[in-house]
Amino acid sequence: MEVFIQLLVSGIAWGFTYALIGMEFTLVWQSSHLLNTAHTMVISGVAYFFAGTLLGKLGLPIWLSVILALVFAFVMGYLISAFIFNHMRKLDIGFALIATSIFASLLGELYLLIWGKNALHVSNFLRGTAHIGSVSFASVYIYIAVFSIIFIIAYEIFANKTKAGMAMRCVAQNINAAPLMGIDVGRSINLTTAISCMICGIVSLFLIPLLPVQSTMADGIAFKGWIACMVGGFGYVPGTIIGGIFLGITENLILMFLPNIYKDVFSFGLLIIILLIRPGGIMRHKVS
Amino acid sequence: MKNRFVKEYLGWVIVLAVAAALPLILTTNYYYQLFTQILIYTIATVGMTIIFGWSGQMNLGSIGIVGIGCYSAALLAQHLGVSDWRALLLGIAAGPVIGICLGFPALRVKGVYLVITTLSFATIVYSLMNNAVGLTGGPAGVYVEPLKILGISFSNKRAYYYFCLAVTALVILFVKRLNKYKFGRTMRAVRDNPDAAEALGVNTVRMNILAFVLSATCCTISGVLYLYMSRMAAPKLFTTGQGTQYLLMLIIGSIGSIPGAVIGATVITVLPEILQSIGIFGTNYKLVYYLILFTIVMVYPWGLFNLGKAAVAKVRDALHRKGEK
Repeated sequence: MEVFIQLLVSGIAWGFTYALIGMEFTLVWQSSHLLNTAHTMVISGVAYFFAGTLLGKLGLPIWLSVILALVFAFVMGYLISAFIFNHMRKLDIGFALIATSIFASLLGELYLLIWGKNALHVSNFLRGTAHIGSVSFASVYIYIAVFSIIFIIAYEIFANKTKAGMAMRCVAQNINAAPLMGIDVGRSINLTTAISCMICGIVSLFLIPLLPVQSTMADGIAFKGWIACMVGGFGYVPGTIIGGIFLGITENLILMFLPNIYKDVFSFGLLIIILLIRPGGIMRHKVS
Repeated sequence: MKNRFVKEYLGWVIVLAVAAALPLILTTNYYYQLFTQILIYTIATVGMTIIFGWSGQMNLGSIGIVGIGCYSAALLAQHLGVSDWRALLLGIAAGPVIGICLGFPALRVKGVYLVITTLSFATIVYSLMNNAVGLTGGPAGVYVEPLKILGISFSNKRAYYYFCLAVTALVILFVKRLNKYKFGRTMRAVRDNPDAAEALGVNTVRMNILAFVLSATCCTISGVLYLYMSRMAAPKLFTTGQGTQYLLMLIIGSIGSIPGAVIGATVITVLPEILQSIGIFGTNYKLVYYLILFTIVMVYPWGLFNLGKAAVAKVRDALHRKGEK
C-alpha cells in the first residue's frame, strides 16, 4: 500500500509536468500550425540560466531568480517565434520543424560553450520530504501539483478574459479569418510562443530538483509530453492536461509489475493503442 | 533516344567515376572512412527521399529504422556468429518488416500525428537499445568482425569503400528507374490527391505501404553497411539528435530529388570535418557548423540542389536575353 501511494503521488506530479509540456506544444500548434521542437533546449536553457548564472554566478535570492528565469524563457520564446516561426509559417510544416531542430542543436552547443560540459546541481531549491500518514516522499511532487494547477487556472483566465488571450484563441480557431477581425496574427503567434516557452520555463524549474542540469535533461520528458498530447487528443488543451495526468499515473503504477526500463516502451505502446482504437484521443475531441 | 540516355545518365557516370577515383588520390584510412560514410548516408537519404518527397508522408523515424538494421546484423553476428552475406541479407530484410509494421498504423494517422508517432518510434528504439542490456549490450554496444563475402574479407577499408560504392550505385539506379516509370508517377499522384488517384483505380493503401517498405529497406541497407564500416553498433549513433542530421541531409540537399540526397549527405558529412581541420574554431567547430546550416535553412529552405538549378536557369535566361538583343 505504501508503494502504491508513493507511486501514485509521483505519478500525479510527473503527469502534471507531461501535461504542461503537452500544453505548450499544443499552444504553439494552435497558434501557428507549426511544431516547436526546440522546446527541449528552452527547458535546459532556462535550467542552466537559473542554476549556473542566477544562483551560481550572481548569487541572487531564489524568488528573484525564479522571476528572472521565467522572463528569460518568455524572451527566448518571443525571439524563436519572431525569427523562425513568423518567417516560416507560410511554408510546409517540415521546414519549420527542421529549422527549430537545427536551432536546438545550435543552442545545445552554445550551452556547452557558456556553462561548460559538467552537469550542474542545485541543492537548496524545492528540496525536502513530505509525509502523508506514514508514507513519505519528496516534497517537490507536492509543489509540482500545486503550482501546475495554479498556472493552468491562471492561463484559463488569461485566455478567456483578456483581449490578448481572446485574440490568441481566435487565431487558433481560424488563422485566415483572424486578420479580418483586426488581429495582428504575427504578433499573436509571437505572444503565444512566448507564453508556451514560459511554460517550458516552469517545467524546467520543476525538473531542477529531480534531474541534473544538462542540455539533454528534457529529452525524455518532451517525448512523454507528445504522448500526452496524442492520448488526450491533439490540439485540445483540456484533453492534453487529462492525457498527461493519465499517462503519468498509469506509467508509474505499471512499475509495480514491470522493471523500470520498460516504462518508455509502455508509454509508446499506449500511444499506438490509442491511435488505433481512438484516434481522437481519450476525450474524443474532434479536431479540424 | 540515345541523346536522352546521355542526358539522363552522363552526370551520374561522371559522379561515379569521380567517386571511384577519389580513394586513389587521397590514400589514408581517414579518407576511406569519410567517403564510405558519405555513401552510407546517401543510401539512407535516398530512402527518406522516397517517403518524404514522393509519398509525402512525414516519417521522422528513419533513424530508428537505420538503427534496427544495424542492430539486427550486429546481434546475428554476436549471438549466432553469422558475419557474412547472410547477416547482410537478414539485416536488410528487417527493413520491409519494419516498413509494414510502421506503415499500417501510419495509414490511420496523417500530418502532425504521423510526425509525433514516428518520432516516438525513434525514441523508443533508442531507449530499447540503451536500456535492454540483456539483448543489446546496453550503452557499450556490440562489436563485430569485418564482413566476409564468398571468402573475401573486407577488413581493408578501401575494399569496403568500393563495395559500398557498388551497393550505392545499384540502389540509386533502382530508385531512379522506379521513379521514372509508373511506380513513381502513381506515388506522386497519391501524394498530391489521394481521392483522385483512387478514382483512377490506384490502390492508395498499397502505394503508401510500399513507400514505407522501400524507404525502410534503404534505411536498413544503410544501417547494415554502417555496422560493418564502424564494426560496432552503439545506441549513441541512433539518438534523435542524430536523426536531425539525417533530416538535414534531406533538406540541405533538396527534398524529393536523388542528386539532392547525394549533395546533402556529402555536405553534412564533409562540412564538420573541414571546419575541424581548419582549426581556428578549436573545440567549438560544431557551433560554427550548426550556425552555417541554420543560416542555409533560414535563407533558402528549398535546398542546395534547387538553389543550383535556379542559378543555372537564371544564367541561361540572362544569356538567352543577351542573344536576342
